[in-house]
Amino acid sequence: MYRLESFGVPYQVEIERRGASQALADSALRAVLPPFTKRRLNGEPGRTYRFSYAGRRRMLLVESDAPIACPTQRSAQDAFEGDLALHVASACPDRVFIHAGVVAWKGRAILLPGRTFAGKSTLVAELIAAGATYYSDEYAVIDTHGLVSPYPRRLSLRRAGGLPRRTMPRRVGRKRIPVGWVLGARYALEAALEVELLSAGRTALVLLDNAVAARIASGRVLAAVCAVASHCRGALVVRGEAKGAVKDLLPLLSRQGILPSGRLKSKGIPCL
Amino acid sequence: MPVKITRLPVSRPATEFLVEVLADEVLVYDQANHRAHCLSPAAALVWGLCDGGPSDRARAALLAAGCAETVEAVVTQLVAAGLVVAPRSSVNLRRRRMLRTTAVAAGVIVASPVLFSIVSPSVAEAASCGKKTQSCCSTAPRCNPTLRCTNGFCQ
Repeated sequence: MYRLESFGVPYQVEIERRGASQALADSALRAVLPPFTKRRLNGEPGRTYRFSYAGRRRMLLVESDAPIACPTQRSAQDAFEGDLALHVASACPDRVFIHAGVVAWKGRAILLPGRTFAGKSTLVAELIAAGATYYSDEYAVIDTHGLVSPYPRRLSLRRAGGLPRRTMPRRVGRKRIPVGWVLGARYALEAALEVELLSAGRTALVLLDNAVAARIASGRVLAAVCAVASHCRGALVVRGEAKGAVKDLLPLLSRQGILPSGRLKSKGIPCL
Repeated sequence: MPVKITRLPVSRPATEFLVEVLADEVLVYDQANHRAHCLSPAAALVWGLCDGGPSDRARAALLAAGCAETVEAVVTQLVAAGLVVAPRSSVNLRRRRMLRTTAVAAGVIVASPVLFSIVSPSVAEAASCGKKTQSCCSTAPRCNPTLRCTNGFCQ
């Protein structure tokens, strides 16, 4: 049994053993825990997850007496990772989690909030390739001062039909930094690239629209998104395929004065 | 045809809302239905005056603030957003219902000149889902387009 804590949220994980083997290897468990997870030595255990066998290949993940039958170990791992990340994001007592990709550029964060399938991870990967520093492809973790902390999971990129490709970028941010830009991401297959500038109020609304605990800690979330929105620039980006979109998007944002001008290192495209 | 408003509607009790001021805009979180609204300066001005009194005050305030919007346009949207309760005679009820239904059904940012609204997400709606072997999403599309949702998982 492992008693753990992530971002101040306690939980424990129990893994069934059968002889020499166990339902989930320690390395597999470590790979899916939220960043900055540490052992918890005392206090309430919080939520309990239990991995057990259900046949030769099938796995059973039990969370608070609610069993989830998983067809493979990978799906049990994914179900655990998703549920735990969401639990931590919604129960964190002093930070606000926004469903967003985050990269840093020139000491300030670029937040890419958006629902699932908005193409955040792809856009994050493209921005990293363009010279930005990786912070997260899942959550922007915001404190009461409006600063964003890293949440460096392995970057997960969807592939048509296959399992998502997961890698950890080389440049990963470590420090809390202020938010410079919020770019609400929306993906539409056939869409031409469109950028709409947002007021501070609408920028806060875009962040709120992707805040995990928007309904359960409304006051705290509202204060945090307003703290961010009052000191950054916001835009709504509707785009098609990411590769082409980023190539056109960055110079476009620069021309419109949303991002500061500069020069990319990796591709030499004038942007950011 | 727009109806001329003579009296302002009444704002719902302040305890039902969380309010944050951002420069000249106001962000309002409606705790009753988990909808959030960004009020433009004109909407914020009129909303602050909504106490059932004569509408001339709001007209004068909009004029003094240099806002181009009419009281009628602002009140119609405040009513549609559910931030105020309109007197029965002042606003066309059918139009009000239609506006409200449209806004709720959209569930996303609704563009209008003085007011932008969202329905705040539930915890599950703000989660990543739908990749291969992951849980299916709670709303459509439930899985990546190349996958199918089988027994709660995208395969």
